[in-house]
Amino acid sequence: MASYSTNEFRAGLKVMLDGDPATIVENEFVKPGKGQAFNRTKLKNLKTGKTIERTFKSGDSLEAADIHEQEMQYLFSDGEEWHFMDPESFEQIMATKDAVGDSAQWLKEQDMCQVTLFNGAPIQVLPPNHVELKVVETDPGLRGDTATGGTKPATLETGAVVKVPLFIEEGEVLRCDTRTGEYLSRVKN
Amino acid sequence: MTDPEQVDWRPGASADTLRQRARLKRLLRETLDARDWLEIDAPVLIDSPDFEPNIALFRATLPDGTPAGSLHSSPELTMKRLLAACPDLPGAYYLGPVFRANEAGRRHNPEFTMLEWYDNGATLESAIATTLALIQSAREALGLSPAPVERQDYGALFRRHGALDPYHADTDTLAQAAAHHGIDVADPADMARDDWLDLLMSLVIEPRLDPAALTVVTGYPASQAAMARLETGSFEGQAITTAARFEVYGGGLELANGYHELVDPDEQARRLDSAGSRQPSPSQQRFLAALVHGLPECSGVAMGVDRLLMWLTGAEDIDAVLPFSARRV
Repeated sequence: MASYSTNEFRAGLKVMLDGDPATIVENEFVKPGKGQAFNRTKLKNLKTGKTIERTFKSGDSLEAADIHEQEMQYLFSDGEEWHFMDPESFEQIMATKDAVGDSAQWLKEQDMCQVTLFNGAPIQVLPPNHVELKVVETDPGLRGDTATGGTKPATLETGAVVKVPLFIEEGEVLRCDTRTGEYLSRVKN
Repeated sequence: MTDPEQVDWRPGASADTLRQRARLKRLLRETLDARDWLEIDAPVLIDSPDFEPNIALFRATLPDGTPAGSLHSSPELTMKRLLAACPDLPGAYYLGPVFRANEAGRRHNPEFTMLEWYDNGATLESAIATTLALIQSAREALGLSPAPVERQDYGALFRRHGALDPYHADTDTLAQAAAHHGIDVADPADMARDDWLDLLMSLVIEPRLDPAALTVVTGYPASQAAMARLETGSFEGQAITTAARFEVYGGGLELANGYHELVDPDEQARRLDSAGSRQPSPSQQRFLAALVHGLPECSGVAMGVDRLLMWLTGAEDIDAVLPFSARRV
C-alpha cells in the first residue's frame, strides 16, 4: 500500500492511524524559522467516528487507507445484517450493525445510499439526504389545525421518530432531512 | 477543458493589500538606504551549503539532469563574505526571495520575501532596537499606532507556560509538558531535546504571547545558536551559556530573528562539523576563508516581509498577502 508524507497531508486524505482507517480533517504546518517543523493534524477515525489530534514531525509518513465511497442500493435487513447492491455490477455486500449505526432508522428498501468501503468491506453507510417515508404511528391529527405551530412525535416506516406538525396523520408520506432528522413537508399523493 | 468560470486564477492578495505591500517594501528600502547601507543583489542560485539542519533546499538541475546547485534559503553566507571584503560599509541588506522546500501552510510559503541585513559594529541590543524601530515605522506608514513592546526571556517563558527549565530539562520532562498541554506526538522516540523545545515554543508558548504586542524573546539555549555567538547568561540565579540571539514576534507570529554574529572561524568550523557537514562545500570553504580573513563585529537580522504584512493587516493566511502564493502559481 502507498504511503503519504506529511507534505501531502490535506483535508480528506484517507490514512491508517493506530490500525484503523482515518480521514484527515485538518492539517496545520508549524515551524519556528530555525527549528524543527511539525504537522499538527486532526484525524477522524472512520470506524468509531471519533476525532483526535496528533502531531507529526514533518517528513513522517502514514500508510494510505484503502477506502472508497460508492453509491449502493439498500436491499433488506434482518436486524443483524444490512444488504446492499452495487447497481452496476449487481454485486451484493453485507454491512454490520456497527457500520450502519444510526443510519438504520432511515433506510428504506430500494433507496440509494453512500457506502464507505474499507478493504472492500462497508464501515459506514449514509442514507440519502432527503427521504420520503410513511408515518406508521402518531397521535390522531387535529384536522384543520395548520396555524398553531405545535408538534408531536411521529414514527416512520423505517423506525425513525421525527417531530411533525399536529395535523399530520398516520399513513401520510413525509419528506425528511436525514442529516438533521427534521420533518420538511408532506408529500402529496 | 475546465470551465474558466470555475478556475481560481486571481491573486490571493486584494488590490489594497498589494498597495500596502508595495508601500512596505518602499519604506524598508528608504529607511535602510537613509543609513547609507547598501542593497546587495545576493545570488539566489548557490551551491548547496547544508548549514541549517532544519531547512530543506530546492535543488536546481541542468536540462540533462546534472545537479546545478540550490536556491538560497537565506543570503547569509554571501552577505557575510561581502562584509568581510568591505569592512568600511556601515551595513548591507538583501530584500528579495528566499526558498525553503516543504514549508507550506497558513504561515509559510515555500518562496517568500526576506529582508536580511548586517549592521556593521552593532551589538545584539542595538540590532533589537533597529528591528523594533523598523517595524514601528512600518506600522506608521500603514496608518497604525505604535505597538506596545514586551521583553521576554526564553527560560522564563518555559518556566511560566511549561513549568520547566528549558536549559536543563531532559526529554522525559519536555514530553510530559507537551502531554500536559494535550499534544499527542506520533513518534516520541524520534524527538530530540531541541525538537521538544521547538514543539513547545510553537504550540504552547507562541499562542500565549500578548496578541497586541511586539514581543522580543532572548536567552535562547546554546544548542539553538546556529550562527550566533555564545554568551554567559543566567537563569533563576544560575549561570548558563546562551545564544546571542533574539526573535521578534508580532502577537504569536514570528517576524524576525537576529544574531550577534559569530566571527570566530575555528568555532564556526566546529559547528559545521557537528552539523554533519563532511567535507565543506566550495561555498562553505569560501565562507570560512572570509572568516579567517576577518568578519567585522556585526549583528544580522532576518525579517519575513510577508509575515510582517500579515501581522500589519491582520491576515490569517499568508496567501492573503502574496500576489500569488504557491497554491496559485
